[in-house]
Amino acid sequence: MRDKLAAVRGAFLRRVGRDADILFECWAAKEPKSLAVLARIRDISHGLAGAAGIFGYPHLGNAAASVEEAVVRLNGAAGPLREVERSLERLLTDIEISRTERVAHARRRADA
Amino acid sequence: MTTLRVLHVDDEPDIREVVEIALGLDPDVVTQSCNSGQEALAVAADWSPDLILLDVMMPVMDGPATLARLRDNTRTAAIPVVFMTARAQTREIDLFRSLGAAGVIPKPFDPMTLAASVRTYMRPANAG
Repeated sequence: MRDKLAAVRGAFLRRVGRDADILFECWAAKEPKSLAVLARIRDISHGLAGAAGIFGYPHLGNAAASVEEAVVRLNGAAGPLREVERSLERLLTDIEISRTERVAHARRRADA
Repeated sequence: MTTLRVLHVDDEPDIREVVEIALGLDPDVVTQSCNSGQEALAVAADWSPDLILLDVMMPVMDGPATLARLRDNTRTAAIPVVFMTARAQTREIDLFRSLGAAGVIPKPFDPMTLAASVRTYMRPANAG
């Protein structure tokens, strides 16, 4: 059971890395963001929001949920999107912190 | 103990995989997964699960819409449906129950206790 969960968790973490790359591209895109870009941000954030907490990253899940909610609140309108940008920045920062912590943890285990 | 058939519906592959593993902790639970509401309608009618775990937010046909369609079909109308959602505040839980849901399992859930949570929603006749 724990081995299986660890394998799924590993796949999830690899996916988080891929999602972060896409979200960063969306975040860096010039405004106004198209509805297609907003839908992509919403869908990726939705996926992270649902799964991150299950794999032990509740702060990532909450940050992703904030992004999703910010996009949903726009109700299909494109615009300057300050709230989406802010929540996206927080999510990307949280992903980076999690990645750094995982690397540090892996190094400590390797050194032990 | 009687075998319990659980149909899990979620558009997220990671969550489907975790739920299958988590429910696999209970040797009497058999799980089948679907990635959409539309697929769930067909599988539920064909497989007659004892319980359906249904994600709320899915593209095209969301959880509540899927539940409504399940209730419209005599073959699936009586199957208990439990929503799985990150939006599990009292207001949402009341809303889901008013739609006919047997209950709500909040996300994130604990994979180690999911099977036990699911069992609490099984009908007594099937609970073993």
